[in-house]
Amino acid sequence: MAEAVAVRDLVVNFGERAALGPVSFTLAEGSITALVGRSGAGKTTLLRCLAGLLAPSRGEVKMLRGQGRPRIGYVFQDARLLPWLSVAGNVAFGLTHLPRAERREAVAKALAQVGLSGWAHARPGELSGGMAQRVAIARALARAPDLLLLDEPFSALDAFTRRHLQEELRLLLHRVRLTVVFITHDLDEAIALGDRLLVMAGPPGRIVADLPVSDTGGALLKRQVLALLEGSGEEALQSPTLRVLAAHAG
Amino acid sequence: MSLSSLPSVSTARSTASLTADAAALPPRAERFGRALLGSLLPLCLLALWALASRQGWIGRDLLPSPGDVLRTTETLVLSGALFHHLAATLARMLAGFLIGAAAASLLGALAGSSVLVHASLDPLIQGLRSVPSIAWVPLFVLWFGIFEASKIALIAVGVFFPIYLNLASALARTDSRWDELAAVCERGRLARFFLIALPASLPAYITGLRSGLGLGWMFVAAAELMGASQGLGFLLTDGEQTGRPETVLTAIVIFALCGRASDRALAALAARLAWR
Repeated sequence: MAEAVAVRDLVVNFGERAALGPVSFTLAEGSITALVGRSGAGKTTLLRCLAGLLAPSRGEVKMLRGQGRPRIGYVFQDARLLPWLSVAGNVAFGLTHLPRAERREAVAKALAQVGLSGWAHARPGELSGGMAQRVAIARALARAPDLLLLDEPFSALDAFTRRHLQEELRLLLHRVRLTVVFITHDLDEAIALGDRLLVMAGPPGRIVADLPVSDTGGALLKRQVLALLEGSGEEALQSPTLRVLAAHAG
Repeated sequence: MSLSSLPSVSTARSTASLTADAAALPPRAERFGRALLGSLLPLCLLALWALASRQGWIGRDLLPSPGDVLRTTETLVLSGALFHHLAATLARMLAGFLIGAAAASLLGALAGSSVLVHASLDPLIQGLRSVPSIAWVPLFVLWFGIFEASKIALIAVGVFFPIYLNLASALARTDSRWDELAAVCERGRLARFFLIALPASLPAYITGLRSGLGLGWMFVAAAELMGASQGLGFLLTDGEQTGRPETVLTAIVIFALCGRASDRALAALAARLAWR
């Protein structure tokens, strides 16, 4: 598969404090990559660099596909809907690059993709948490992004709704074939949705394992990642488990 | 499974609508109960006032009976004098409010959306805010004369500060999370101002407008007390100088009704415009 994004020697420092890096990796076009790791491992910092929300102290994020400025779709932890706009207005918020007629079509299509066609004129205050998060996903999808980034999109939802949305998102992502990076603390979610896991440890955040997700062996992979995350930084890098995983990933 | 088949989805809209309806339109009995409760104290005071007049506890030259006030109001209405004075006051109030609100909105928007403008403008405005408003009167009379312009200027000053302060601080406090959203959606500064900062500040702005309107009524009375030949404030001084407390009380009641009605009108307009 062709490469869509290249991250080279990315470093982020907050003042004197090293928050991330150096990290380097590439993302294949149409791949779905899960960033997993403990809190403080630099996952959100990395995602914000990919989105252009945070300028790296060193290194670069290079978009290899698409013409002109790459379009990013970003789903935040909270739905972050503008309460004074309708659902359709929120989805259209990132579509200024489209003419009006195409914008309407893109909004209708994105809302249909997340099962909210009948809610275009509703206000965000009328939506449940799960529905609001689906509108946020529709807003990101409507942009037809070169890179879709999701920062723990279901973390604020109850377990029941989260499970349903995970399944729906899995089907949706495989249907739309976008290049996706998402953060999750839920290894089951990472294995269910992703086709690749980047395991991060820190601070400063580093990628300590790069693992493919196969159709079988999810339980083994989960055990391996958990074993990896139980160790910290250098210890984890020296662990026999990681060496096995690294060889597997390579 | 489709997302639309989730129970939370199918029931959420009806629940949300019910909640919204309940907030917007309380049940009739509840509204009636609230109105009754709100009227209880004024009615008791009215009854006490009537009793005090009837029993002669307070002399009628100091506190006329409610009936006297009603009769005075009737006379003023029938002669057309009340409408004449009311129209003069409303015209001053409207002009002062519009000028004060426009200036406050413009400067508040500039100060709230630019750190540089805020740093250069806000200290001056905060300094001027601490000047007692009545202290402007001699200056305005010197600048604008003793007729309409000085009165309108005083009302505009009263209206200005709450609107400016509410708008500038609300714009400056716009949640930075919206900026992140605008950045990932590639929206420029104009869209950020008109689609995010301004609507986000609207509830605080409307609070400022209502406070400004309330102060405007105070200042129009003060301006007309300064020296006017027409207006509700003139009725106050006229009643005082001719020893007719019932005229004074009539003017006070009309002021109260105007203030309340204009606030309700602004609140109704705000309910249509504001998202919260």
